[in-house]
Amino acid sequence: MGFFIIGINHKDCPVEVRERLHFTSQKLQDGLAYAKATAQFSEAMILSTCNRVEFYGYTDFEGLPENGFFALMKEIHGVDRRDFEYYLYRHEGKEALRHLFRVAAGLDSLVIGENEILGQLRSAFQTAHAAGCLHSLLYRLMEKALKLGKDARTETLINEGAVSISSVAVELAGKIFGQLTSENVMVLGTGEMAALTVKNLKSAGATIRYVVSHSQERAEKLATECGAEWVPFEAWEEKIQAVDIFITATSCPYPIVKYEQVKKLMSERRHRPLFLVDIAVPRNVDPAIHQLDDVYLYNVDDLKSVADRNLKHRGREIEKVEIMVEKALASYQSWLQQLEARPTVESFERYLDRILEDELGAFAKRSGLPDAQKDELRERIRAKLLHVPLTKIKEASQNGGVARYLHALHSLFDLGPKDKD
Amino acid sequence: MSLAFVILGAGCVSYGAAFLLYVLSFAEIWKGGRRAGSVMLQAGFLLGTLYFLSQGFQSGYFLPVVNMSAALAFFAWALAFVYLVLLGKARTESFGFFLSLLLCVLMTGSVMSFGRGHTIQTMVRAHPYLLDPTFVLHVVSAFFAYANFAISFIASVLYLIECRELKKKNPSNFYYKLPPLERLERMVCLPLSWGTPLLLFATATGLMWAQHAFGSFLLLDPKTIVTFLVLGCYLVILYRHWVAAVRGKEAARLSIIAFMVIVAGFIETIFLFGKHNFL
Repeated sequence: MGFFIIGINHKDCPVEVRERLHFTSQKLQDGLAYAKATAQFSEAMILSTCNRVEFYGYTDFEGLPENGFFALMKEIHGVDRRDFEYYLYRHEGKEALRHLFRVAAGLDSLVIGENEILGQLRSAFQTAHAAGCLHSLLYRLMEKALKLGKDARTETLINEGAVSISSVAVELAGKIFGQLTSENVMVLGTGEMAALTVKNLKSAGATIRYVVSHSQERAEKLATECGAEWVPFEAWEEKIQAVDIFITATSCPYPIVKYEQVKKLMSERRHRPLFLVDIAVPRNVDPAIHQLDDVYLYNVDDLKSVADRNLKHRGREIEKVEIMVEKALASYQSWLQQLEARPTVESFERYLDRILEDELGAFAKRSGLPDAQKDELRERIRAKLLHVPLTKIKEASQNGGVARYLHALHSLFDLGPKDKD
Repeated sequence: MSLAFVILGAGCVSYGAAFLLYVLSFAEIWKGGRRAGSVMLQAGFLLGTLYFLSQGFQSGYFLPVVNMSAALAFFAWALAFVYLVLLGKARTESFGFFLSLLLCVLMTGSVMSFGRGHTIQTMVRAHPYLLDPTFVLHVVSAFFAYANFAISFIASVLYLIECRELKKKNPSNFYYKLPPLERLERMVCLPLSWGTPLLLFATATGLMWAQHAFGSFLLLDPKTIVTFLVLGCYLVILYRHWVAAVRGKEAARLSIIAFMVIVAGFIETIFLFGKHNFL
């Protein structure tokens, strides 16, 4: 049968089902141990992320080993096949390989080109390898898939540009201030989005200086997490002088930051750029402020349009990555076919060696040819006889025509039964 | 075909290749074009260095301004030196793209005019006072000053483009290739800080040399007058930058205006009055 994939993902399967089938670290170990003990699976690997649960395997049996898979899911998650069978996809052979390569390249992800999947795939590979579930075929396949994933991200723009609101804010800050090192951040409000943006900025290298809020308790919680200082709402204006990135995310129904305030501030800052991120709805910052020199004001719609644009831009790279996927697929299949051809080629070599040894041995005996010359002659004849068939087999491995040659070799030279690969 | 011409031609080809590679990277055809372009730019610079060394050893003099070919090649070399050596850490793809185009144009001009005009020997025979070390210092520092101003000018243009793109909020593809504003600002201001003292030094050595060679400061020479004007502009910018802490858009605008004065002065002196009126 060969390679297969059985799985669910974000495209068709609702989150309620995905979360029931998710493999925690312990469940993953148990699942791999179960797969290892199941005769249907020669090799196995489980990839479980928030968007997909996929079982990659290799089987020597005829037909897709669905029963083994359902038994594994029942054993590990206690779910019946009827609960999720409707959402399952199954790929075999070439389609399974293509699916894996597309996953590694980020083409099958919810956000095209995202980097996380490559790390998750690597982790799944390492876990399966450590559990002793991988042998040469799946091991080589995973190596190839991980390399493709890396190449797709370095050679194309599939992962370029931020695609979430908070990461766009960080990307824009980087565009203005360069590598964030000592840039001071002040955040007005402690909502979920504000907290996420602040944390992203902090991990990018910015210094979170002030968290401004009416609620001291909530502000101090966020301030402690980010190493910032709580500032009462009434005092934010006194602190803004030292700030480079200002995030506003309050539920205040009218603009808090006014044009005149920022105009005055900018003359005091001597044109040091100021980045204002207004993620509040209704907006907290007077939109006219954006007209001021060296002030960059982005509201939630602006950030979203940049994210959409980046996503669209990634979409244009899909074609390039699909070509890389097909190349990797052809290369892996070629390797696989050469591997499959090896037993027949070895039989053919043994057959030739036997004939050469018999005939040249007899000839050497009759003519008194020294052993060294006999060996040299044998090697030369052997190399010449093997050159054309081996080249043809190698070429055929790249376009899927190896079986025909192997069959011919077996029939013409009576090489005996084909070895089971 | 002389060896010098071959080296000069190879330098020109390197800059051309660098430009094409940057184009491939810019057009998103080949992501590796950026790195390869940078390597070709460095190769062009090394070939330029080799060219001037070979010329110096061959003639026994180092005077890279005896004819148009040498002057263009030396200006290209000075630009590459400022970008690759002095601004090494601030190098970016978009800047390399524009600079490689400029270098390619300058080197093409140099290759095309190779062998025309005076040779260094005839020039030195006609004007022996050109061998004065003060004159060499004057020439070299002036070229480096203008190279710095040119770099600052390109960075200023890119800075204003990026500001506009950031304000527009719907950026074009070009925006994504631009380096951060902060880095561009450094590329606007640093060359100004180096170029202005260099021009001051070039002016001082030029005046000293003129006094020594001709017994006069040649203050009414059109080139001298233009140089004073340019120097004044850049001193004002430096003052505004250091004392009034002007930066960002305003620094970029001032740098562009000052470079326009250089270009206008250059056109005026070349086309209306000729070069230094004593040459």
